[in-house]
Amino acid sequence: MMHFIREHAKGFFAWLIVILIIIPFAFWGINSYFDGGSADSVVARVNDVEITAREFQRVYVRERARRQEMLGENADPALLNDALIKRDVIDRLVNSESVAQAAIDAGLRIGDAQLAREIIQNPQFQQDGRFDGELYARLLNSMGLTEKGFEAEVRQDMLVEQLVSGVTGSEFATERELQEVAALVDQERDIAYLTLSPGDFSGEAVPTDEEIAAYYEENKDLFSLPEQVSVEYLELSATDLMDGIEVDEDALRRMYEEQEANFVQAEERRASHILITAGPDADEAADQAARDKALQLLERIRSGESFEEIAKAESQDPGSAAEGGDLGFFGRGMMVKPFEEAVYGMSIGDISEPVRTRFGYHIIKLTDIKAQQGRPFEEVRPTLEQEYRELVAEDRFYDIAEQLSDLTYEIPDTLEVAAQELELEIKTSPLFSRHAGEGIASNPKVRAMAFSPDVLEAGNNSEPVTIGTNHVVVLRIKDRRSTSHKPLEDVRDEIIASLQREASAEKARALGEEIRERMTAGEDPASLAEEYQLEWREAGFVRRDDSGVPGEVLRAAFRMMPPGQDQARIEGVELVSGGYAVVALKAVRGSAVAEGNGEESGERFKNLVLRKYGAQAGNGVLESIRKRSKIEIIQENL
Amino acid sequence: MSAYETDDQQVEAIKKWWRENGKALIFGAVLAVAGVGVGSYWFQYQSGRAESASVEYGQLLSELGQDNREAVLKRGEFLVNTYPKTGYAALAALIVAKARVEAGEMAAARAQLQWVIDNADQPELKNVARLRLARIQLAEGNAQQALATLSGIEGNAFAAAAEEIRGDAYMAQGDTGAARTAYQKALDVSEPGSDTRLLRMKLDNIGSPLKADA
Repeated sequence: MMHFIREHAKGFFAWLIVILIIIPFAFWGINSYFDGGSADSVVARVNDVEITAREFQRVYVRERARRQEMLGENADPALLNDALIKRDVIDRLVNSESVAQAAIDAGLRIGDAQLAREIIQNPQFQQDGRFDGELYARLLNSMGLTEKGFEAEVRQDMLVEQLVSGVTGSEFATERELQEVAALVDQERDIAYLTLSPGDFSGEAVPTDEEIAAYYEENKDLFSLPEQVSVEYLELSATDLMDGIEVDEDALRRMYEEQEANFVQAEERRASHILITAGPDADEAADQAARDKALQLLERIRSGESFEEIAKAESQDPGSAAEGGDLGFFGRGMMVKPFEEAVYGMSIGDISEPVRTRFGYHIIKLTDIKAQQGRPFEEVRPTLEQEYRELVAEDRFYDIAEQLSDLTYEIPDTLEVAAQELELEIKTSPLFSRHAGEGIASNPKVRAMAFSPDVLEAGNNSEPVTIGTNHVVVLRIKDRRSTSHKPLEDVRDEIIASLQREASAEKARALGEEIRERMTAGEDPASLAEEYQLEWREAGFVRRDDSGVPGEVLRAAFRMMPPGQDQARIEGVELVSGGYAVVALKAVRGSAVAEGNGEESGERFKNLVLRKYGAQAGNGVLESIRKRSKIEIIQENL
Repeated sequence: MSAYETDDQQVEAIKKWWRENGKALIFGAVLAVAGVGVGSYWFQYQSGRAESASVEYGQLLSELGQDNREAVLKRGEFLVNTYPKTGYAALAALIVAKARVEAGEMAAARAQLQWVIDNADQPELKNVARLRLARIQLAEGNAQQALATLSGIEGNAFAAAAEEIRGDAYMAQGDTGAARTAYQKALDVSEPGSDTRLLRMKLDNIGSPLKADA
């Protein structure tokens, strides 16, 4: 290359070009040509800054997991609406990016040192209260982040935080606002009212058949039944498979052999002994005497006397002496150490020298050895068989489940083939709706699958639905009942009740209106109420949260325009329950309470104002920044 | 330029060219290097200042969180005065204004907010300052001035807040009809999901045109 340049770079312009090429390298280095530029698709652009699919995926996966955890394992999949989560996540990313850009535009900066401090102080990356670089690297790695990427993210968050806290944190409440809010929230109103409930006008005539039929036609929606389906399904579970498994004796034998180590019974030895006692704290003379005695007995045995007879006559171990010294079979770890060592160092028929233990001197005779031996196959067979069945069932389960998945996918319009091939029974569920069902339909995943477009509309077999450990079903729609209406006969009584209720409510309303009008015209409320055999209730001054006045009446009273000087304001209120109320608002006054306990309620109102205006300012800033940012979301890459 | 016969000729030509252009070239190079140097120094100086301001501002926020009024005032004013050209000045001024309002020093608070309106680059910060300035003017009994301040708000991201304060101003002037219209408009343009309880109370208190069962 240099040769080429020398050959051809013969003029001023040629040199100039060379220099021009050198300049960018001098300033940016060669690595800017290799950084970035990877083929990652873009989900959004904010003023030409790209948010990549990878970034989006990472946040999305985390958010989805968070919601899943919140809803629990067997949540209805419909609640985890992917489209909705995606929209929230992209919204958040776009907001954060655009606000951070606005912050940069406004001249906000986070220096490297400041960034480092933020990261070092994050308890997530600390071990024993100190930043741990290795932990940091590991955690980032597990989140699929590079240090550079993470630091850019933190920097962005810090910029957003600086701008948002500055705006919302600087919110204030003026004295005037506090008073105004106190006057509104703690306001008291002097009210009186009467209520007419439809129950007061019951005993209505039974409506005619025509009326009933007309009502049914007009209000058909009220009597609708939700769409329902029943499904046929193949159910496969490892537990069911266990029964059908033929037990292969050879396999059990093999398992037995493989696991023999778990079934062995350790070696046991049988010995007899003659004990001449000498405690651990016996003095030398006593010790010597016992030892001499033992040696003497040993001599007699060696010269032909019977070990058993001598044991019976001389042994000082009362437990075994009568048995001729026999101790029976024992394994390792059951006798004192020196005794055990002696026994396990002997052959059958051997008689030991006197052995000193903390009991004294023993002359030991090894009489029998039961070699190490396995528990017999017959004894452990039931355990093995259970284990075998589980293993084979699980194996078969995976095998059959795969075939089931393949067969039902390849032949999507029937379960028959898979049923025959795999010897499964086609079962049928009762009808169930999208939101409730019994049997397998009590599982929300099953319902969601049955009502998924591919199964419900296209009529295909479903994918396998896992409904438990090693337990799947594949289903297809058997019967579909679209939204329908209960027949008139079934709902006749319901309709009669409704019509009567409506008639009563209408009467109550008409009467209430009449009372209201007469009251407005100036008649005395109390005597009016008496005339209609109703009760005029004087509630006096009440607050917004008064519990003695029916909620609807109270809310209506606080929505009425304050009355003039001389006359109460009167309004009629139709109640949701079907009744009617006539409400009189006589006076409005500021709170006696608010003035009473200043400090506490002052703080309460201050928080109310700060929250309200702070949220308005914060949201306004966000909305305004979004509006002047060029935001492009590429839906198909989400 | 034609090709040369020998290397000597070539060397001779380069020397000649150097004699003719050397000085200019060196001068140019020095100038370029100096230019880049000054530019880069300036850039670093500027971002260095912004970064120092950022650290100060971080401390200001934590003092604000601790309700340490004295420290907030001191550091806030220091930020506004020392780094007026960074974005932190406007945010600090908003924070100082809060501290002033809470001390009842309305004129000083107004001055800070006015500074933001006059000096901030970001329309959002200007509008936030206008809303707050109007509320202070209203608290001081200058409904007319408050209305004038509110009319400076641009765009509709702050419309709900502006209309509500406008309603408060009309109420202060005794114009219930105009207040009702403003409150109703505030309600209409409020973001779904925002807290409108107080606004509804204000509206109800002067007789909402809505039916009671709405």
